[in-house]
Amino acid sequence: MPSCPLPVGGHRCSWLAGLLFVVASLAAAVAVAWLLRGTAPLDTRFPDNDRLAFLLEHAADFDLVFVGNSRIYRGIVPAEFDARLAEHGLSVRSFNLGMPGMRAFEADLAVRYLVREAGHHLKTVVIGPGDFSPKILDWEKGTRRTTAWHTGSQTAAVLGSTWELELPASERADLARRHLGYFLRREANHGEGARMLVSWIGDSRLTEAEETLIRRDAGFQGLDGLTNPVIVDRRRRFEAGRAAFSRQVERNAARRRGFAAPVRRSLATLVRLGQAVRSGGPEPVLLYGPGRGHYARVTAEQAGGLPFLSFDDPSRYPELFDPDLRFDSSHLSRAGASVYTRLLADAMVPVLAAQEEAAGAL
Amino acid sequence: MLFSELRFVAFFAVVFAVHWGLRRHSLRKLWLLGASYAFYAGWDWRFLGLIVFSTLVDFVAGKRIEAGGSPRVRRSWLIASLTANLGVLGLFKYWDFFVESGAVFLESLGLQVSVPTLSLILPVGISFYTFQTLSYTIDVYRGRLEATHNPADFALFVAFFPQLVAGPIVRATEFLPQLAARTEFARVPVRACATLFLIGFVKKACVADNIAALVDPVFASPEAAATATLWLAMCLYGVQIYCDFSGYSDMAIAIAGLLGYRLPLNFDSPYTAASVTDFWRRWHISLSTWFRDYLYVPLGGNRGSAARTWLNLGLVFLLCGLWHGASWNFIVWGLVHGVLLAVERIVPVARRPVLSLARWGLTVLLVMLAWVPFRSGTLGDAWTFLCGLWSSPGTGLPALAPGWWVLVLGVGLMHFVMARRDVLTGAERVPAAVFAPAYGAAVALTLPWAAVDYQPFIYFQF
Repeated sequence: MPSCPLPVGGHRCSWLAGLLFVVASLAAAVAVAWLLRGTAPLDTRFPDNDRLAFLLEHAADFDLVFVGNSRIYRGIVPAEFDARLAEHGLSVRSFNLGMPGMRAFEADLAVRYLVREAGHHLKTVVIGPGDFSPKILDWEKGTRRTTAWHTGSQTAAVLGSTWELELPASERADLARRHLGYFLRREANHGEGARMLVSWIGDSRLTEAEETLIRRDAGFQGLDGLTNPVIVDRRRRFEAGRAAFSRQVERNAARRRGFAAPVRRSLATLVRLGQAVRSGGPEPVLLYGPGRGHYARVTAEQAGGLPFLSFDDPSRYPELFDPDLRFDSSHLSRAGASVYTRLLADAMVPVLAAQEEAAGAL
Repeated sequence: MLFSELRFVAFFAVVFAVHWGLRRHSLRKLWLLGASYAFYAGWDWRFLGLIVFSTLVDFVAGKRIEAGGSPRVRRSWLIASLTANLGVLGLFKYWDFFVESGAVFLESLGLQVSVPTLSLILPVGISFYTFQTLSYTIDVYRGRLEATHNPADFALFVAFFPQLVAGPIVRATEFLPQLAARTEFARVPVRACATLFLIGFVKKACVADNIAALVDPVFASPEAAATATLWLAMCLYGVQIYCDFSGYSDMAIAIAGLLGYRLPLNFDSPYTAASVTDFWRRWHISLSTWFRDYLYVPLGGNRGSAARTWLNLGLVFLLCGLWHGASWNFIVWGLVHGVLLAVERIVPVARRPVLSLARWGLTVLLVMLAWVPFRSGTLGDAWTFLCGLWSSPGTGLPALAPGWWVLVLGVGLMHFVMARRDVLTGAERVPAAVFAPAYGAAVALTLPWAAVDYQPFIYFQF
């Protein structure tokens, strides 16, 4: 039997040697993973990093950025937004950094990253994520994208939200285990090799054609005319259920029950994000776009004193809930996007004017 | 729970620590048995009963065969074991296939029939553990093995989790003696096993899973792919299935090794084979030797006339194909190999050493071509694919970048390198103080290349 190289004997030697082996392996793994992670910029980890890369490179060309999910991406047309503000005498150059399917924790990370990298150029960041729900949807499971937003701070936040969920302990524990798994995968750079390689060889820059396209639409892309089967199918199902959509909107508007507990927590998280943006330089504006009429009421107290614009209110903005201006139950059509953009610009006028006034006073 | 998943690492860490923490050998075995059942229940707890049933049937059959005086009684118990095991396998895996194929045949004769299909879920690993238990009763019947009188040992032999769901197919003659002797942790080749696990992980998660995303669309729509893409996809699939299955086997052998048990070699650089006969000495060795010892040789092997040998080969490989799945694609794949083996017995040029390079190239080409029906969804798709290899006007799918040939050649090259160097012995010689951080660094350098979306092991379905 091999002799023990450690100053202990017998069974304890094996245990101690094994422990040292594991610790040394883990330490080396963590160190190498950390070094590797430092070689690839974070923006390569976002799902639509072309537009983020463009924005970071041309941040000086823009004053205002919209960040959030597809309701932002498919609903706000920067060129029309800027033109409407110009009619009000405000000169703003905006960019749409909404990303399809972007969850709130992912948006949170994107906003913080954007402010850190380009906050000194920007005057305003409009943040419009969905709920800060810790649940993992089926299409998100095991994906690179879900892994990407599980930084240490985001994982801590999502674990906190998981703990507060009104679910049996076993389900919360399972959800927490999944989030921890994503965190570990992220820390291990799981699946990042190809992106890292592209980053190392410097081939991640946008082509001229890509730059031109992004610049032309300032990040916006409507849903009309897209041929993705999933999108086409959503449209078809919405057309078949237009009446049901209208009834649901009416029901939601009639309830006017205020915020449920999980939504209150989401709102609180969103307010904290807004405050973080403000401390980074730009002024935050919180935004809930037109959905199905759930978010009709937001008090100034709930908004933490931050500007909060809610368009998810069928009684105030009935046109945004007109099925003719909808692509599906969650998104506006291209024509609907124009209407929403104009309403948003109008609502932003006093907010931006106040910001300018405050800046002038300084 | 796949070996390449984080939760398996957590599961194994607990199993490993408790296993070696227990002093008594019998407790260790019971712990491993419990862990194995828990591992299988993680897949689908409903099928645990099948494993327990198979275990009980063969444990009792083995004892009765050994104790039974007359040959008739012994044969009866053997037949009972074969019937029970193959009956369960047939019910879950082949019932629908044969019933539906029969109905199609009758309909082709103009007879309308209504078929009672069961649509049962295929229990994971059923083909593997059924063959293991069968080998036990057959070996006891033949007098090559003494029946075990320890039900826990036998249950662990059947359910040992490293090889439970996708092999290697372990013989009782190899495994039961290992259960009799206590193993000391100090004798476990930890560095070699850890290295083998990492090699398996790289094959599975970094190579096979990434290739899957490339070849799946081509095999799904071969008519839409150009000729060059079809050739590349065919070869990439050859790499994928090798890396997937041999990677799993490497990990299984490594995990068993870390627990102090030896599993048989399952792959021996199969694409270096100089003939199809040689290929089957190197590919899925535990299955090919099972068929050789328990079917081919009892049928007469190559001891009879040439025609009888061909017939035996054809039958064995037909069943080998059918073992892989209840589909005409697998049957065709098996028959193709059977025919190639028969042809190699009568074509003298295949034995000339001067043509070794051409022989090797031809072998690889034939094996790759045979993968097409194996992987295709239907025989029609396979035919479209094979026709497209000579001329395909398909333009619907984007072409696979020719750079992927580098991966094919790289894996081929590694095949020859790995065949000639004893990497594992080398790893065991490295001082632990150097090996541990080097291993951690290697893991950290490997994980970025692992595919993000887990792909189940291809052989799980068999």
